Amino acid sequence: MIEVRELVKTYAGRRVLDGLSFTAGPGRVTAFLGPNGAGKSTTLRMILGLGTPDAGSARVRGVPYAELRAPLHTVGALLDASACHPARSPRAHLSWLARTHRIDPARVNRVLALVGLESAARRPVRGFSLGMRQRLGIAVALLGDPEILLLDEPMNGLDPEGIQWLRGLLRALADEGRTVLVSSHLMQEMAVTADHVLVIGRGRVLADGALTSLVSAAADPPAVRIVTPRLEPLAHALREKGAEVTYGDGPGEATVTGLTGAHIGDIAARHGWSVHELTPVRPSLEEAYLRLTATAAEYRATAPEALAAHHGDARKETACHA
Amino acid sequence: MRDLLAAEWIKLRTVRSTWVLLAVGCTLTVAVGVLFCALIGPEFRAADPVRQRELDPVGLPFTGLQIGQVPLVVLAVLAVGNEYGTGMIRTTLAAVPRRGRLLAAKLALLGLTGLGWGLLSGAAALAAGSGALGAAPPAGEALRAVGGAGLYAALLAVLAGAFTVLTRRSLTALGVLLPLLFVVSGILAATPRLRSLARLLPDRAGLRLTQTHQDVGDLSPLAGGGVMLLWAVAAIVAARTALRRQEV
Repeated sequence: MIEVRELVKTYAGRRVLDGLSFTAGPGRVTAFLGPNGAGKSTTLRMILGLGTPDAGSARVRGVPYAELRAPLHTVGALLDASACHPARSPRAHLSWLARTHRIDPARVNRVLALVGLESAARRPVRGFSLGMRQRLGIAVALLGDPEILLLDEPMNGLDPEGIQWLRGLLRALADEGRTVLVSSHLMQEMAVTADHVLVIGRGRVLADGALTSLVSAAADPPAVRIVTPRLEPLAHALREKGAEVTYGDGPGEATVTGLTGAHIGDIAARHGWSVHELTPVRPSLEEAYLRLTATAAEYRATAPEALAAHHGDARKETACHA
Repeated sequence: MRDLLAAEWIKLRTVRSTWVLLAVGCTLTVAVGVLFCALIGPEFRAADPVRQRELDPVGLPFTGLQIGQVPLVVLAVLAVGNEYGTGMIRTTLAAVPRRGRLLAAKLALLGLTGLGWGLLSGAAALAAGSGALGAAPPAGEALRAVGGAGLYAALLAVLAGAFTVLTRRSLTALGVLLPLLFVVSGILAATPRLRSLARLLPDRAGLRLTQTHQDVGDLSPLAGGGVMLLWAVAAIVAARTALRRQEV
């Protein structure tokens, strides 16, 4: 259980967190989403006690992180996959961490095997790909067998097999009753992994709810996609029944709102018009997310002519290591 | 605390540059000491006992420590600076949220490393240097000088590590420490009016621990060691205050 209450944090005059409150509960994977600069990494750092909020509090299992006496057994975190000395091996990196908590060295071997780094365990991290570094970061997070996991962009750099593996791992961890908070920009991936979605923008919560309700809320009003060789007359007939018809890009393609698929099919059948496709449009998490964050995106690509006038301090406060 | 020390020891020993720096420092200390002793050897052997004392047969073999300490300073700076440079400091502080204890463990380990390195390098330099000089120093003075080298190296490593907590960057720390130890102190010492200031710099004061001969105006070995200790303590206090407030 992670409880964040009214967190406020200002960096160089910019309010990165602006009264952020949420609770991430056990037994589910919570997707932590938001545009670049929304405050995701800052929030994770405040939860871990690495920075001090101007106001508000972050608690894990009911206490501030700094009061945990053996924090690795409570919270496992992956903040930055490259956070390891380049000359050190994964085994050495995990070994010193294990020593701080008197974790059995055999556990180091187990997590190395779990993340698939056994064969590279003694090689310097210097030569590792981003995906291998992510695996090491995940091993670090899992080392203390924690009940809470905080993972910042863990899928970055993983190959398709690795992403699939991580998806299964996150699900398994949540099913064991752990609290799993994962930030990511990979919407399709989060849509199949998460149960709960937390979207933030400009340091505030934009949405906090079950994945299914968030996505279906974005499908309002519900739409139906049709493809028919008789689009003109059908569109006319549908509009007469009060529907809104928007022509699509392909021939005979349109999106209809205001009528159900059954209604549309019945009308077409009555006239003897064939319909080749009739599909309820299911909005994706990505669409729901983009709709939510449309106004809150901090750093958006601008048209080239606007570039000259736009000087932002577009530096993400983390992940900026020389 | 023992676990934290052990963890920091794993960190230090699993980076190859640690061993390279320690070996280079030791080699430099011994080689430069032997070179000096070999050069002065003929004059020393021809001198009468009073003049021989002035040449400081115990201090001479430790001449190389002034250059041999550079890799040790680099080691201590990197041990702290790399935590910030790689971002590993976040992992470290997440594992050990009690920052005072973390700093204590880290600096204690650097001190112990410095002590071990100083004793070893000092003993080797004294043995090899005395051979080249052709004079065996009295056992008591030899022991004291070797112990002094260990103590000096320990305090120097702690000072360098603590200072790097303030700068958070290895390059900045080295940019201040190396000139201070090797340029400023040399210039001050060569300027007659500023000599009294130069003797209070960490290296000038600390290296008195390895010397038995005392010129007029030199700090006594004990006073020199005390001044060096004050430098180290000041750096520890500043680092402790800074680390408590740092956001990483």
